[in-house]
Amino acid sequence: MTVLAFAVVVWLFVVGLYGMVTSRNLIHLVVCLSVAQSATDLLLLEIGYVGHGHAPVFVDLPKHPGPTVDSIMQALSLTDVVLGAAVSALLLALSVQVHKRTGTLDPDELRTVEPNRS
Amino acid sequence: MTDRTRLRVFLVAAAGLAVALGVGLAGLPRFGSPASTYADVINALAVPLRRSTDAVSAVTLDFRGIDTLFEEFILFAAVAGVSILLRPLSDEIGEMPEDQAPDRRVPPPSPAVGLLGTILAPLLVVAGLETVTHGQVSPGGGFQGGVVLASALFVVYLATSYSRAERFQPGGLLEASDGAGAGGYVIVGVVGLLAGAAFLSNTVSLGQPGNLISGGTIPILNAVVAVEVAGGFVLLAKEFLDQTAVIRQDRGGRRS
Amino acid sequence: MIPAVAHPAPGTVLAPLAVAVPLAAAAVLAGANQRIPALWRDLLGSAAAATATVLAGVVLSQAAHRRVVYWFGGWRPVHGTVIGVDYAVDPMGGALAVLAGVLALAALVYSRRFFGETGGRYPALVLVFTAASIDFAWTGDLFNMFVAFELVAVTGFILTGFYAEEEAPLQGAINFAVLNTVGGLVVLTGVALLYGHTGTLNLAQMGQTLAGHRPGGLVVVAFALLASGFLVKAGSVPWHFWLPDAYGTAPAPASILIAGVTSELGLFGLARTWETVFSGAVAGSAEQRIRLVLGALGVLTALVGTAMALAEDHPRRLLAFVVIAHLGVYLLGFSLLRTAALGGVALLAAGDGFVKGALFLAVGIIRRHRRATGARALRGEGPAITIAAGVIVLGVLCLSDLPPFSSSVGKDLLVATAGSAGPLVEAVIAVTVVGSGAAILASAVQVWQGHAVDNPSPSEDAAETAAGWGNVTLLAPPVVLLAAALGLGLVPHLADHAASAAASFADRPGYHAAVYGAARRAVARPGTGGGGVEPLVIDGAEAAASVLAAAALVSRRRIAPVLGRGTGWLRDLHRGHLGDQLTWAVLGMAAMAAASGLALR
Repeated sequence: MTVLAFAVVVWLFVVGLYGMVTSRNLIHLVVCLSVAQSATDLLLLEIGYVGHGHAPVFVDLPKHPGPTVDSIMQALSLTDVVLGAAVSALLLALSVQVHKRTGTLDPDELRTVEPNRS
Repeated sequence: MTDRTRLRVFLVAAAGLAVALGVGLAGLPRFGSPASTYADVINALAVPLRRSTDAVSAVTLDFRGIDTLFEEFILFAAVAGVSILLRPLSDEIGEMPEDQAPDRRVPPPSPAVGLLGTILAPLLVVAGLETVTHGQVSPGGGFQGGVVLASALFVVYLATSYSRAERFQPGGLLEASDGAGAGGYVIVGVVGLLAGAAFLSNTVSLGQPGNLISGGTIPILNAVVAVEVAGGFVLLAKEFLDQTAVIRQDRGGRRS
Repeated sequence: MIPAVAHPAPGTVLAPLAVAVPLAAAAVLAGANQRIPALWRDLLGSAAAATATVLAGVVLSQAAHRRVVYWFGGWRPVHGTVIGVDYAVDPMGGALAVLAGVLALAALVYSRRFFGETGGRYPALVLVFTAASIDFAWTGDLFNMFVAFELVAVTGFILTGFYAEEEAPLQGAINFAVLNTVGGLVVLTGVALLYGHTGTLNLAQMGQTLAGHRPGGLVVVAFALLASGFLVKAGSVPWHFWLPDAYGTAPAPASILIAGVTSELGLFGLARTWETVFSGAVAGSAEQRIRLVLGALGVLTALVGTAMALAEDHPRRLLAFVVIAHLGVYLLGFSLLRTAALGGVALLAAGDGFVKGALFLAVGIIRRHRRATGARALRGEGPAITIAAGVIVLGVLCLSDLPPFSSSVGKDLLVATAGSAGPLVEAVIAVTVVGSGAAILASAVQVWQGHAVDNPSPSEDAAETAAGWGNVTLLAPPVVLLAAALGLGLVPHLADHAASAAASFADRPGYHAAVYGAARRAVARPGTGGGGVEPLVIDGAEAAASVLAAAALVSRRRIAPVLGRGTGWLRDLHRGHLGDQLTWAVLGMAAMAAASGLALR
């Protein structure tokens, strides 16, 4: 179980990076970034998980509720989710302008940073 | 690099990174191990000290409230940034398009969508408010509820039209709520200072755990965050919609 | 075990205010946007940045006596377990916050005439950037550091993409955003690993838990991840590729923020986590080996940056490579892991931060003038242009670490304390200084004569000419920044202050004791030595060599083909391809992990 749980994290992170490196479309690239990001969210939640633990909400609990999972890791992943949403929104806005200006979303065709030499 | 070389180099690099991550993760305690002392202390303190039955809210908005202040400002920066990036640029104009064929009948949204929207929008508002106001009691809070509130407006847009949805989202008011939400969090922090305690200290009565009024400043911060998040997300969507609906290439000078 | 929600010590109240003031002003500015008149917007923005700078300055002066520790929400540690988030400000962090504040103020004043209709959002973003930088420099919590890291990146790439009409700034912003977000994810993974291992997010507690134990695989990987993540932001090879794309296309006021603050923040993050978290677990030969790893990275970065600066025609990209080259020197200095050397690096970085800011602004003025008038050559185009050109020449001299600029004090301190590595450090600094100085001078001369490739595009906001005396708000910031670099160098006993600041920064037990509220006297100041006539001669020789090399470069027709052949492959690597940049970044991370494993285990 431990191996599977952590293997998923590695897989999501690496496959997200693979998608970004080979991406031919900026929207696709933003989604791949979110995939890589979800690896970190998952890792945070996995570190915080306690076997047979209940949510860190102390209301209407049974008599012997057992252990509580880590509330801090849940809070951190909440922060990370908001952060990911913000970055995605901004990258999508940049992509909209790229498409409007160049008619393409292919990052390979953006080579204008390097000015033309005469 | 050619596509092939890049892929090869990347695969080698990614394999290396995967091994490194594997080594790191192998050092972690077994999946499902008991939580850290930090987590146990927080879980033990959330109810007696914060009167908040939701420990996650107690962490995000009190014990680690400064993280959330900056997190809120990341969203704030994203909203400001999207507005800057998607502003009508120097060669563009922002105005409602002229109807080129006024006599053509625009098919209205299907009545099924309209009905569903009419039912869904108020429900979403209620669910959003419920989530925001009960953050200190049960899972939820300003971020989660704020997003639900914002989605109510998207449903209105889906069920009606851009111009109708536009009426519910005057730009100035949204900007003000965006600023008020972000600034409100800072004000709650500074009130703690004025009370002679630390920044973001609790300054109000804590209430009874499990009640709607509990958790001290946590529900106030949840409300403030909800204003910021709801306003921010509507503003974000508006900026993207404006790109297709209002902003266009300025051909032949600005029309008056 | 009910903790006392203690009231903060009097006087420490200023630390949270230095962050709260710019954030509150940003909220007002963006919330009111167009409804406040432009003049009031600018005044509010500048006043907030000035207040934050002054507050940071006061906190710095407090921290010079003893660390300023502040617990948010009053949550002090419970029986050794940290439950809240703290600021633990030492002189180094305090000084970095002041640098960020000053550069933000300069950017805001300069922007008064620079941006037309941005409303309140542009200054709001600059203020959020400032607050996030201060938070990054002061926080004592690793996750809080990550949040600030992300916020600095987010505001940075928005400001970079400001000229959204054009492809280049958009691409620069996208590369900036993607690389820094990946860097952030890597940092977060490192944070998560360390939390899983130590059960805390607090730097002091984490360091205490790790101290004295030989680092296991998890700690090594966590170090590699944090180091690579922070070095993405700093712009070290091979994570630097996004940097020229971003700096080369950002508006001038945004460039000075990201060039003067972001790189320093990245290196600061590495130094902070090393000193507080990892140093206690690493000793003896492992420390020697990690020095080699970081030092090699520093030398490589300095050389690549210098070579690319020499090969680059585009003035602002050129400056970006100069930033990279200097970062390599700082990294080399840090890699010595000696406190006094760290003090030298801090002085170098502070002085260079001001100067790089002044250079970007001066180039911005010239660019703006050419955009407005279409003038090719700049000779005889009015006093403002002459002043801007003067700033560039003086700035180059300052980057050459000539006395009395602060960077010269820093360099002497660094070389004097480098010990057996002294000649190597001296040589790398000489190459960097001569190469980058020559590149800037040659580029300036070409612009002056009217042969620059950096042709301003007409789509940028049209602006009136900056050639007259009227534009004080444009001219004052670069001049004042240059004066600040000069003034800092004239502070008496500057080297001693820097060395003692570094000693406090590297004092892990002292940091831990301060965070846990135990009183502890300041560390004894180490002797600095150095000074004398010899450094002066070397500095002078370096400046002269810069001028000579620049003269050689200007007559490029003869050497350009040679230079072009030599650096062609290097330039091909810097074509701005996002997939390439990511590949290099991932390769760097894997290599860093392998090298750390070999070094630390």
